[in-house]
Amino acid sequence: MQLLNVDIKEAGYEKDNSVIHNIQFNVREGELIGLIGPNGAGKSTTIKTILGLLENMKGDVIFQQEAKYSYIPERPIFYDELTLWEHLDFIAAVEGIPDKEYLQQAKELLGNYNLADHAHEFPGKYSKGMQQKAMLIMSIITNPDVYIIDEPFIGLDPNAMKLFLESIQNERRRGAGILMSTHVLDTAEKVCDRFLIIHQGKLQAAGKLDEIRAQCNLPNGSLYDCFHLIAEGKTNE
Amino acid sequence: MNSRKIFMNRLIRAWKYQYGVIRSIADWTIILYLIIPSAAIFIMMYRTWWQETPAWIEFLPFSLIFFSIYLFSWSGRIRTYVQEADKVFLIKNGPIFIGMKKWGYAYSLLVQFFSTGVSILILLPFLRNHYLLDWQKIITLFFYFFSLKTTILLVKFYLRRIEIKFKKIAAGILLFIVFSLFSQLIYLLWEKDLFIFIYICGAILMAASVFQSLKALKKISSIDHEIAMGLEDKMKHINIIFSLSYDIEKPAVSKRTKPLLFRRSKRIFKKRTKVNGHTELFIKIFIRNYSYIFGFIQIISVTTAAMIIIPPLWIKATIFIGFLIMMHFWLSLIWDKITASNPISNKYREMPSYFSARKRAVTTLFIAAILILSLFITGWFLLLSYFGVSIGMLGR
Repeated sequence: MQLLNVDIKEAGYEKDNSVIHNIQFNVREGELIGLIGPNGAGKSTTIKTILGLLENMKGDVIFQQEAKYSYIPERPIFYDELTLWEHLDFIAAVEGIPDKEYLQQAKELLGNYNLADHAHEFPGKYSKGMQQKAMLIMSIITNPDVYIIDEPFIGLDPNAMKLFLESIQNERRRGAGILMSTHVLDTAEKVCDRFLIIHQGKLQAAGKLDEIRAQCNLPNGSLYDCFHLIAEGKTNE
Repeated sequence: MNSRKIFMNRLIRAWKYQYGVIRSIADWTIILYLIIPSAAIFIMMYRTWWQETPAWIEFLPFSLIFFSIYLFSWSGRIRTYVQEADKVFLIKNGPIFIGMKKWGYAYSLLVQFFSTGVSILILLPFLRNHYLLDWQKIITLFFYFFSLKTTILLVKFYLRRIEIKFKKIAAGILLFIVFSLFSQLIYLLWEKDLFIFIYICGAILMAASVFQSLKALKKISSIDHEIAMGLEDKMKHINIIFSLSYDIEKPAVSKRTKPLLFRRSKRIFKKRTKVNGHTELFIKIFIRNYSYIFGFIQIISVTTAAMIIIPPLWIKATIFIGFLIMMHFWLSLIWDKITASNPISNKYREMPSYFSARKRAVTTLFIAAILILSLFITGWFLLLSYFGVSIGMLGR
């Protein structure tokens, strides 16, 4: 079942100055999609457009009716004056999650991510990796249907990365669809179902790895080879 | 490029930055209608102080003037003009890096020399015509306070390094008292015209402070501390504008890792509803961010002062109505700032519970503000009555 359908004709930060053009894709239940492209290609603009943060947009972004989404930004954002537990408390209250269910899930998640001892501290003072984990917990607690994740691997140590990948696998099994922007191509190649390669604001290749290879005419190429070909216009020899 | 050139470049850039900050609020209309007239009025007033001693100075004992100069001595700080990027580049070239810091220290001393001089200059009409001090006494006073400032600059340099807030405040108060007692001793010597002792004490203070400051500046390990101090100094005018402005968001940077109030994330509302969720978020942020509390108390204090000082009843009533409108507007604005500034709560801004919570939180703090204002006015009324002054007499 489709959870999110994106059909961006054009979008940008200023009127009549579009940054991205003709980007179409969808996210289905249990699917992990890698949004890939070099710096400045338009990945973050695509994400902002999906989140409705850009006024200058032509096209449609349609979430399945009643579908909830969670966004995990590249740079974690918190309230400086609230503890992690209070962030979770707020989200649970406004999302209407029953208290008992929320408390159990929060304790479990904090324990899994080794943040139980830091739950009553300000997450703004955590290390980058801890902040990333805190953002993930804040997203998971709402049981969203769609995750939109921007560069999740930056600042995570190998253990946290493994934990993160396990978490998103669990969420996929639950039926959540995930759109993940990343530069870590070898990991993306292993975990993603499909890829969207964006370059110069346009969708240059899309599909499963085999389909990307075919589109790039690199039958034995890795995701990196395909990326390199699209980004630099040449093969990686 | 040598250390002097690097220092001069940075100094000129710092001046330009501060000029830009001031210009951002003082456009030509402000300069023409506010700053120039204020400066002209001050110059005229200063002239009249020389010609005729104002009546209000009659009631001020000299010890109070001495204490106010002592208070002023606690202003200012050492600036070394160290920047974040120096960690990567300039630090590799030790002599140039240290040289630049020394230039920065010399410049800090020069600024303090002039600021002490200006403070004495402003008080000069009273010192000469009312307190009838001769030039030797005035110059001795200037020398002592300048040497004290060199020591206080160093003390503040070390105080700033204390990470634990409580310890920092306690050490600050203790040093304030110690230097105050020392200054009282100097005051006694000064009254008895024992200038030589003051010059000896001042010279020892200054020499020891300059020596220790230069030693401290040679330490590369204090780079983070110096960057933070420089940044605070750079932001001082912006922070003043923030504190005087009601419509600019006031970010407060705290080093705390855990909250002081509602420790261990203790809930305000036991019942978890959407309205309570929004309200709790707002209240906790409001009370933990000192700039919001400061703004809240500032509006109440200014209104209290205005209502006590300005005599006619109808003006008091107008001020009170103005306070009601302003406080409600300000609280609504802070609600919007807090909730819109962060995507965590911004996501829920369309919910009906958001609007219910906004109304409830703003109304609660609004009523609290009226109660605190009543308390402040009653307190002042009782205090002034105790001294035989009735409200309304002031300002006449």
